[in-house]
Amino acid sequence: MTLLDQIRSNRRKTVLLFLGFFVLYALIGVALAYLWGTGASLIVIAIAVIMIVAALFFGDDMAVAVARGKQINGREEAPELWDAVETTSLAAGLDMPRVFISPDPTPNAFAAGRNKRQALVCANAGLLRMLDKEELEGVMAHEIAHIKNQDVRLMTYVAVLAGSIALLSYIVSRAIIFSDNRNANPIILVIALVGIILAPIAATIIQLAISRKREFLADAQASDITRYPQGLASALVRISSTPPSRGELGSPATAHMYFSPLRLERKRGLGGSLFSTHPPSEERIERLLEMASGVPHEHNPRPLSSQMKNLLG
Amino acid sequence: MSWLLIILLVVLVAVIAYGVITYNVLVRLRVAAEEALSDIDVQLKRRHDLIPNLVETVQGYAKHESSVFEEVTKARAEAMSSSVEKDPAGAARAENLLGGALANLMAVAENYPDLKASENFLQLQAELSATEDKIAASRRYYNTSVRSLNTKIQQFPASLIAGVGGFDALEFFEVEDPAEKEVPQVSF
Repeated sequence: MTLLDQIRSNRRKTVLLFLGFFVLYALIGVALAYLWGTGASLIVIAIAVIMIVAALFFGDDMAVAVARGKQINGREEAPELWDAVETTSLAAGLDMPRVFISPDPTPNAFAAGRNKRQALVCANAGLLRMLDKEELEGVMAHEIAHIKNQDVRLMTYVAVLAGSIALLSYIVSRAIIFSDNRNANPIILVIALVGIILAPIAATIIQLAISRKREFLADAQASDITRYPQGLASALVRISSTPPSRGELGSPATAHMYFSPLRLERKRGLGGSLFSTHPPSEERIERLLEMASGVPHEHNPRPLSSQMKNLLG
Repeated sequence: MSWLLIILLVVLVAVIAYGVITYNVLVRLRVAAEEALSDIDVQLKRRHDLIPNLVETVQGYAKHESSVFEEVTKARAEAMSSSVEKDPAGAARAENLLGGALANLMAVAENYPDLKASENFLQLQAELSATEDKIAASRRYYNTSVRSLNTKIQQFPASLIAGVGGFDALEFFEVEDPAEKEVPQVSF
């Protein structure tokens, strides 16, 4: 698929997944209304809204704090990183986001920010040590793409929705078990109970599917921003072939925001399953290299690293 | 009978709404492209500002290479007098010539080991390289904006609105020039 086709297809799939989400939510709402009346459904919606607002307002600072990020205020402090972020922001038509460096020794980076003005990118020290200029630009372009798509906001909504579905299911299942619903049809009750147990699992699956699609989308857009997918592909090759190491600062709460899956996910061997936040690196690399053949070069093509040559055959 | 009237009215409103929305989208795309063009200008100016210092530094070590210095100075003056907004193609050509002159300057500098080792020169070289990256980046964004606008203008039915509203396709900001293999890479 060409670059633009990829971007369109990923966007479409996100919309479909989101619809799936709302269907789930609607079903739970109906179940609630059936059991307790419409008042309960409204309370539930209010709770979800409050949680979304709280997550949006405190989410970014929390992610940076967990990663112990320090802000970079000028080019002199970290010229390669600053240049990479400035160049890719220019090419994306965005104002330059705030730049942070985290002492985390693992090669990774994330973007945060509830809107374009509050946006920030945070690169791990491990990443800066490992990547060369073109690779760093590729990774930063990926993060800038996330900011441009307002993925942070999107994934916050999604995470809160999934979380609230889980919470609701728990509450409703308790209520059913301990309630005294003489008038309720037992078959419907059973269906409701089964549905309520399965709903959180379905919600999580959808949430992670959305996360994976957004990762593909960010990869595709990063290629459009740099017009050089090989840079990002090369970075992915290097990062994914690094064994998971200690000292990683990311946590399950912030895992989905990172460029590459965290050690806790990789150790569980979840790459490529329904339950991973990121698509498998091999597939990401493959798609990027596919795009590479269709993108006009604007750089002097660099000699490929031996790893990349092996991949290209 | 009144049902028919209602349906016609709804269709009319929908068509007008579509027209208005599409017009505004086209305006947004065109403004984005214009802004992108002035972004390119900003980055080009950064390069213009670097050059006097660079020429002076090289002159300090290579006094006799006067033709190269003249070439750069002249090309810079021409590039500075061209306007990216008013004449993108002309400005692109002028900047291309400047890039060529700069490449020649750097090629000459290669012959002077003292110059190549000097801190001042190394720093200026790095800054020049970074500036040229930014020029390329701003150019990419402009071309992306132009692509969005031109695509929208040509798609049906937006093309009708574009025709009526007077939206023309914009030119991409590129100058065909076989990429020079020497550092700094300047492909315009």
